[in-house]
Amino acid sequence: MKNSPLYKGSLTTIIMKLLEENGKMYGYEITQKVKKITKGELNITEGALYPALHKLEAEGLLDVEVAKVDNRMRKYYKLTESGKKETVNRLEELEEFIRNMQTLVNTKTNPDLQF
Amino acid sequence: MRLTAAQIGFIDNYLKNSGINYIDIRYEMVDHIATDLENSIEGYEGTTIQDEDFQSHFKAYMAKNKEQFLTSNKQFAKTARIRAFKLILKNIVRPTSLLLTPLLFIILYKAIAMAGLETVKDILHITYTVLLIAVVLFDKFNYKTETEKFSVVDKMISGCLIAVYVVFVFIRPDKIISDPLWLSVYYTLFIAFITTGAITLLLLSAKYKKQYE
Repeated sequence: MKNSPLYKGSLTTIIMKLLEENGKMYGYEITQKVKKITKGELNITEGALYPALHKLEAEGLLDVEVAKVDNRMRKYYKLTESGKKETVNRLEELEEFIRNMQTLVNTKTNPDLQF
Repeated sequence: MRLTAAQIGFIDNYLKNSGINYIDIRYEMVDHIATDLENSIEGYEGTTIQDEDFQSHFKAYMAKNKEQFLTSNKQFAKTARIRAFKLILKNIVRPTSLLLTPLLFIILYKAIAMAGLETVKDILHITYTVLLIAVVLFDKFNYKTETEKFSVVDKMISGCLIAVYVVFVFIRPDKIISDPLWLSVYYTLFIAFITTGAITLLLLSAKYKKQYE
């Protein structure tokens, strides 16, 4: 992942947002969707994606459905009811974080406010 | 381009031979690798790829990505053990378990008072042994081979066996505690843990088998 320390903390929120919009998705599909939306800027590796998906599944935020597709088994993920509620919370948190970071990055330091 | 069943089987065998034994982890990796190859190999639109070309592309792909898959495998196995433990704990605090546990305590306390401590200990040890043998036999005969096990189920079995071994062989609270009240508490908690573990194991195993059939 590009700039991994900055994106790492948002990965589960990104996954949940995509599942909220797209219903059920499989792992590879999620990586390609992110790549497409960010025009190749954000490339989620398999090593980052699947641990995040399994963690969300273990927390009860994702449900799993397995189907046979093109000669192999494919695992689809979708949000549970508690996952849908948690997605709203996490997106609000992320939006607030982005607002605060934008304020911090854009603010010019006032010498009168220096400690 | 779509890979053939034989080529998918080749990927599966490769991962098995690389030590990715759990079937649920391996299926997801096979799908990821196969889809990535299908989308990246050019020149075979609408057809299948020849085995020689497939193997050459697959070899190049794994040279670049194998380490990542093996690292993921270790991480998945670790997460599976934590998931197994959390599942047992989640079932221990269900309303049914919370209602039955005090009842079990009363039965054990009365049994110790009526039949004596040694008799109750002997009965419980026989029960644990039978339960453990059942769990080991379940593990041996439920799956055709070592590479058809599900990660969380397998970690649950080994976790319960380790817990029982540590308690019975190393800690042995029944040798340290002599008060019948506290001994009843200890036996109640232990029986609750092992019984919940066994039931959770059976339900989870059935759920995984249904999902992947």
